[in-house]
Amino acid sequence: MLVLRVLQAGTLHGYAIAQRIHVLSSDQLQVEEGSLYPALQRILLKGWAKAEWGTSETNRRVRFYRLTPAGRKQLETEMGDYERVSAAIRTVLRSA
Amino acid sequence: MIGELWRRLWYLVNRSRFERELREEMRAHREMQTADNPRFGNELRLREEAAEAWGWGWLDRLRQDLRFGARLLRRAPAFAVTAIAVLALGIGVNLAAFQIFDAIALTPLPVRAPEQLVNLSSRTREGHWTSFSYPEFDFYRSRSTSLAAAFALVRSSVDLDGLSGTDARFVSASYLVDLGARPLAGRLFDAGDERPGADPVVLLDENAWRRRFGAEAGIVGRTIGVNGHPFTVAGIVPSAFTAFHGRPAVWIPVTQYAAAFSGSALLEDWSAKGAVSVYARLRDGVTVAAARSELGTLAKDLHAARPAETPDGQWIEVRGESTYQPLDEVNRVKLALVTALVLLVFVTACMNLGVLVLARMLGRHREFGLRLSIGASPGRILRQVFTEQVMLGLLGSAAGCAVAAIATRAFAAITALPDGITPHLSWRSSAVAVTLAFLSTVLFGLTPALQAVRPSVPGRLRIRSVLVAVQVAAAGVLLIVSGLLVRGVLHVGRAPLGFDYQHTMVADPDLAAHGVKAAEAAAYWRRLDARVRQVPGVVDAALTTLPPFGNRVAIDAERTIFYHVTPAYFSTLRIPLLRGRLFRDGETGVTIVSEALAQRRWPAGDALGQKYGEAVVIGIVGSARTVRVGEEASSECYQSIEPEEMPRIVMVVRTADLPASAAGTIAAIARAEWTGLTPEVRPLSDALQDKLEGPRRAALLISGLGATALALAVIGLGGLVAFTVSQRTRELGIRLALGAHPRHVVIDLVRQFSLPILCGAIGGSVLAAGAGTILSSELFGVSRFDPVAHVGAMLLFAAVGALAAAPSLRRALRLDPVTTLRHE
Repeated sequence: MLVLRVLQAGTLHGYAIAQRIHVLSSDQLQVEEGSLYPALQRILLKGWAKAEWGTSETNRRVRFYRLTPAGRKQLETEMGDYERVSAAIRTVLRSA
Repeated sequence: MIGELWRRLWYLVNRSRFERELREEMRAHREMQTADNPRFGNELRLREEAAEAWGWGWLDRLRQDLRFGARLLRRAPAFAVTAIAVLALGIGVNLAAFQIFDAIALTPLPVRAPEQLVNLSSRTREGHWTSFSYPEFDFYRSRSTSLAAAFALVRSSVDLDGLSGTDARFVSASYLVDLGARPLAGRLFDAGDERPGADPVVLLDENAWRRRFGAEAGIVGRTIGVNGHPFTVAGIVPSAFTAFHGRPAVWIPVTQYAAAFSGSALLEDWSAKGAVSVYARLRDGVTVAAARSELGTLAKDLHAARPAETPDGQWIEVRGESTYQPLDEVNRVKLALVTALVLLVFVTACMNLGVLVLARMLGRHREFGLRLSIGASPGRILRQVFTEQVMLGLLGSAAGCAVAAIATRAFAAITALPDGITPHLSWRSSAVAVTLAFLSTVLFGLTPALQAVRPSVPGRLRIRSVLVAVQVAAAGVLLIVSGLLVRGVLHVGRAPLGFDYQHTMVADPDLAAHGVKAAEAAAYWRRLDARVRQVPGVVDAALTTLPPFGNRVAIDAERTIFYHVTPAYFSTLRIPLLRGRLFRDGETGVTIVSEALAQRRWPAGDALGQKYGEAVVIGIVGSARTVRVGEEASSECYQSIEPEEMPRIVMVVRTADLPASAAGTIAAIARAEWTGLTPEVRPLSDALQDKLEGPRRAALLISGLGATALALAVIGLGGLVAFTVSQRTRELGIRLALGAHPRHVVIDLVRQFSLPILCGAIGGSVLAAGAGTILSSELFGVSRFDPVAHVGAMLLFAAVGALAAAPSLRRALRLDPVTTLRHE
């Protein structure tokens, strides 16, 4: 979901995605950056994003990922689901 | 969903490119990483994880397993060859048997629209007739609306251009055309051949045409003699055509029956209930049930119209006839038995494979242990073994198909399959082969593997013992049953049948087929008897209703066989009169019983003077099995011939020396006494050989199966001993070094197999005796507990088993203690 959310803003390459998640989570999420790639492969398989080769700002050959309409829909569903669950948890926590 | 599947496949096809790109991408990522955040993770593991996401991991593992399995098989060629040979034999024999069963019982007749074909039989509360009189058939054919066509069929034998005993079928003219036959030359029958006064025509079967007429091209249109009457050859029926009751040498329209058997009233005689078999084709869309109900109504109409000639309460049974062999009860039991015996070969093969694989798995125990300890899951190891087994199974079933091709031909030759039955590799039999291969390899390969993966030890030996025992039992059953059958066939040649069939012959002019009436027949027999007795070399002659070694029998529920004979019958067949007297020719109200019958009916008192049925017992003769030679317990009862039986009796003649010389003379006399007759005269020893043909084939077939099972068991046991010796090399070496007596070492080695082998042998004996009950009629009086067959089979097994084990045992005794210890 995080990857999809990051890609919603625009086309990014792998390293940039990792950096964005890193920055956006304010260093809270400390994960192996490499585990991004199996996730990206799964996204490609599901058809939520498309990949194409390009040149990065540092003049390297990198692969850019772009969200597909199916990916956008998936993100919306997942966001919706997440909202509902966290709202439910909040309610429970508050009333308890 | 579809898109995802497509992308998955796309990945599979372009896999190396995808993997290269991912590697490149990851390298770029790492290069861009700054020193303050070096966490990327294990690249190899991540790459594997990424590849796993596409869902093709199992394929990799499969390839890996296959490669590993192939390498293992290549490195253990002895195991591979043995296992594949065992599988090939087990699967091949079963596949061959199944192909034949498939061809006979599961494949539709190779005729036009076989699903519409039905067989008609007539039933009443009292009985069941599989055939009809011709006028009756004609009635149903002309009146029924549910039948598109009905065919009468008469099996008979005729004299074809001087050769008597030629197999002939008299059929309705539409029969061949309707079943879809095409003439090889000339034409088939048409409606014109059924018109009254039509010229007699005959069709030759292709085989008969080739054999008897040298495939002569100009045969069509020529005149040949059928029972001495001129018939024109109208055409040739190709050998590819198959129909009910196998294929005869000649076909003749049933309406011309009287042209072949002069004087026959077959077409008009309502009383000849057993004259014609009736087959029919249902009209389109008519069900068997509808036809049955319509024919039932017609049967009532017929009874109302002709109460004297048709039974009351008769109905017509209609049965689908779309496959070659409708199996009756007796054949079904025998077929089941043969199936069971054939399956036993498979069981032996499976057990064998089990033992082989078990031994191998034990040998790989160290490998499995190592793999388990460095983190392989038991499931992963089982999958590896599974793959290896399936690989073995595929190789085995391929080899099995090759064996089946040979075995099918052998089976077909031994069982003398009817023409037109062509066993072949159908999808059904392929499925059977694959199933058998799967069952044997996976079930019997994986069980030992499971044992091997588990660390516990004791179960292993038990499973091996069970495998050995079952294998010995299965092979034992086959060997004993084949032994019993062989003994049965041999026994008939030697055992006293109670009469002397040497130097005797039977003459059958088949008066009934020629329409000879009872009174004329009686006169005919009187004249024939007088003239035959004057032939030089003839010692004696008699008449009987049941020809010895023939197929006719009159029998009651107590298995007493009823003969109607002339008094000379006993002297002709050398059946001794034990007490009392014989009846005079034609004497009624008296009966002669066999010794066995007398003892059974009157165990305490005297049989003489007692009433048996309506008649008084006046004599006791020796028991003589002339008809059912296989039945030890049968008993016989003799009475005078009734006048109306005269057209259906035969003559037995005893000659001083070999009967062949007199046979021609007797046939000539029998022919001369009534015009148009074509008598069959043959020595009884020939008839006996015919009678033994079936059992002999059965014995040969089962012996073949027995030999296969023996070969399998020997391979298995030999392999097992070899393996045990190699496994215990070290221990044996030490024991020999410490001065153990070689005999003790051998006894110790053999002892661990003795209990399972003994159990197997006993089980095999018991099962074989059970099978013997079903086969009793094929055993010709040999007991199913026959010690020669049972002990002989076991001794044979033991001898061959010992031979197979000998090399390994010798190797065990020649062990050099120093070498074996150093080897470790």
